Amino acid sequence: MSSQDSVYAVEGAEDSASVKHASPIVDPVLAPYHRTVAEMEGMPVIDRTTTVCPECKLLIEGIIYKDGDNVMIRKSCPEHGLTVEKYWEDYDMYMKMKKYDYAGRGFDNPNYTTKTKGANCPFDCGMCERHQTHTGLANVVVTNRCHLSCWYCFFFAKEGEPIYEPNLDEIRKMFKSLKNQKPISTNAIQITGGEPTMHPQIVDIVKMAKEEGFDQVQLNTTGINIGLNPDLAYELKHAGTSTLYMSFDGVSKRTNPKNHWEIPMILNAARKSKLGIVLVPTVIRTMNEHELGATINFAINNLDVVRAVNFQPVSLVGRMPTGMREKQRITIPSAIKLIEQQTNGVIKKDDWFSVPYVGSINKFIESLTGEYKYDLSVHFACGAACYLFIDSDGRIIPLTEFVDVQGLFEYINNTTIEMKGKGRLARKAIAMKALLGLGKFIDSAKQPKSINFTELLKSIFLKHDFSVMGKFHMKTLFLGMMHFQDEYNYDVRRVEKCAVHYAMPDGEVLPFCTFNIFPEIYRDKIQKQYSTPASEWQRTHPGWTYSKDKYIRNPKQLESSKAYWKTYGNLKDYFALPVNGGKPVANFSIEKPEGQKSSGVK
Amino acid sequence: MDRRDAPIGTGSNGAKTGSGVGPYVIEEGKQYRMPYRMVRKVTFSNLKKAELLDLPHSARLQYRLMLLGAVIKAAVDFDDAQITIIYNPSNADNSSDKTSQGELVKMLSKEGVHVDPSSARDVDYDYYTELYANSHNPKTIKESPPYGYTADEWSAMRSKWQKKMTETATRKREKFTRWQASYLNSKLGIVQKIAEEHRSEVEKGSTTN
Ligand code: SF4
Ligand code: SF4
Repeated sequence: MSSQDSVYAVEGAEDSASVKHASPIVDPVLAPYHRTVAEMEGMPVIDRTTTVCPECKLLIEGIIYKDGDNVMIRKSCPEHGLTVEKYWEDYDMYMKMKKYDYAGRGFDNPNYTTKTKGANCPFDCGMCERHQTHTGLANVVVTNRCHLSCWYCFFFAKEGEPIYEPNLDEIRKMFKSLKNQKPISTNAIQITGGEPTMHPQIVDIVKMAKEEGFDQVQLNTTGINIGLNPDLAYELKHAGTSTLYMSFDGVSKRTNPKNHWEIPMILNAARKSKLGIVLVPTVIRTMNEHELGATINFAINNLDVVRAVNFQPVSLVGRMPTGMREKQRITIPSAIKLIEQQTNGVIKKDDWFSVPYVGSINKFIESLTGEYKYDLSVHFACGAACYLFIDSDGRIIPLTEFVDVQGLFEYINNTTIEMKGKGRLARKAIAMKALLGLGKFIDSAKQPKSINFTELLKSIFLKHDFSVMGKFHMKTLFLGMMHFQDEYNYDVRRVEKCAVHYAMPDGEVLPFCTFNIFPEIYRDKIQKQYSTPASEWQRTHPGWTYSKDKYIRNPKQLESSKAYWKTYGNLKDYFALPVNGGKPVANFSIEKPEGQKSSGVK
Repeated sequence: MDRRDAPIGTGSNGAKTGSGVGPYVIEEGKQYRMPYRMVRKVTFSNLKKAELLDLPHSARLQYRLMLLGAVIKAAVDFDDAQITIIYNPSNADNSSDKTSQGELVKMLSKEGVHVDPSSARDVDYDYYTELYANSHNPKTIKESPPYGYTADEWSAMRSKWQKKMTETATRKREKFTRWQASYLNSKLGIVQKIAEEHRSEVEKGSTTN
């Protein structure tokens, strides 16, 4: 399991120039790929950026243009021709999100300082002076061993390959380097792999992360080892694990072959040990995009343990047949629109906001207190979020239903500007005046019965701490979208603002979208340098073999367990409740024991 | 400690190119894997800009240099018409890929960049003290004040903020330790029972090798 689960490697065919001349494609989803050059050139240009040729990595101009409702990127390599890719499948949403983009501060102590200051981006990493966002979430790979062998994964150690498994001191050193970042060091760390629970000292690693001062410690895991060994769940929670960031590609066996059968045991272990879970579906068109609403419904059914669903539209890394790429490609707005369709409009397109929106709250608090807060200056196309409240009668209420989020953020932004250059007391007075005006952005008639949102917001602003939200004991579900890039849709303006970073054993910090997109010069290259050759590993681990690491599942027997039926056979369709409009969520399915028919799609 | 003095885990003391350096260093009794020690850094200057073509081609050349297993870092500076490569030399006593200045020159010439080896500056480069140590503990090159504050305002506020951060960290740590104790107390009794329940489910349904 790894964050790069959403990064699929496909080997094989290699054509990058996808443009056919006036080909008879009628599928509207695929049509934008199949315009003539003249047609594309006639379309309105929105932005120009720097991208790479997927074939030879030459830096070339990327033209971002409007094709109907789609935002597309096209690029032309003098050697390898034209590549056309979807950038963002909703023009209006692109323009709305774009408004909130802002430049962050980057690093006061970057890894490297050179005269060129990152001119060769994205080939000038570790962190260089040009990078614009500090580490928001740091990934630390603790092993490349994995108990699964997913077909698309190119990351886990295969037979005969070196093992990358840093020792505790080496891991602590990476933690320390992360905490040493200036001006803002990350609070959140994700321990990842391979499968991180394969590291024999995983509990000590979590302990160390807490000792080094990380508030949020996530484990990026299949969950399987935790389901199989519930004692581990307690140990991990006790050591300081905040959440399991867990792969979950859908509610059915077909969409989620990775851990469908173990999910019941994992939920139980997490539930009892009080470990929170973030479900992480990698969304691939033609594979699981029909189960997005059903996945949210599954999360709501398990709200006592599931904190969030973080959808990751697939990043198609590696050379792959153009036709397959076009079919599998899905971008954030498309996933959002599918959620709207599949939830019968309960979670609407307008309920989502881009990550930099929230930056205005942090800037406000920082201006008021003079204390550094997180910059949320990632590129607007990298992520989106939506906050749901589940009221006592089961009503699903998106935040935007009772808060004018856009108006509120603009108001806060203006207040921050007003504070600039003022003394401490004057800033406080401005802030207090602003707090009194918060009420106008909240429709209290529509807010969940269980909360007073104006009071909650005031608490956040006065205590400068989002954790006060926990004290309101609300049932909430955070929905996130995170779209990592690939060579086809690559945009240097995005990667230079990336906030999801990897700490490397050589001290470098790399953005996710260089680490995983150019593994040959970053991830694989550096980890190989710091790996143990297979022969040495085997010598120091007598009796160990690659195959002994692998998990063997007996699906039939797992399906016969009580936990399995409790999890998949008892699901409630929240969207079918009259308070939510009464129409079932798309592809809602519950499992039935052998002999009885399952309902819905499998 | 001065990392320059850090002893090498296996192998010799000298850390010279080709000496018997091993794959670890020891710092304050702790062992860290160290794939290289003394390697080489070569700089080719006064290149023909026409051969580098332009910045995008220079960036791609840098990428192509980085593809070589023996190249640890490469920087192609189009503006200054200069290429710097840190590489693992042929005579290094480690198990990583190796190369030589000659091979790099050949590679560059295949890429259309003809360098004059006689004007190359090729020197020892201590990977550990220069690259590794610096990137783990990089220099601070600027200071960004919090939003809405000038550098002067910030310099007056900084020490108070630092003190507050230290206090907050201590408070958080204490709070976490208290939480750990109460977690342990509340869960201890049920851990055993739940573990057994789960184990029987697992035994029914799956095996690991
Ligand atoms: S093999 Fe392991 S690391 Fe790779 S995707 Fe599957 S679970 Fe993740
Ligand atoms: S991605 Fe960031 S760190 Fe890497 S070269 Fe670009 S600006 Fe520099």
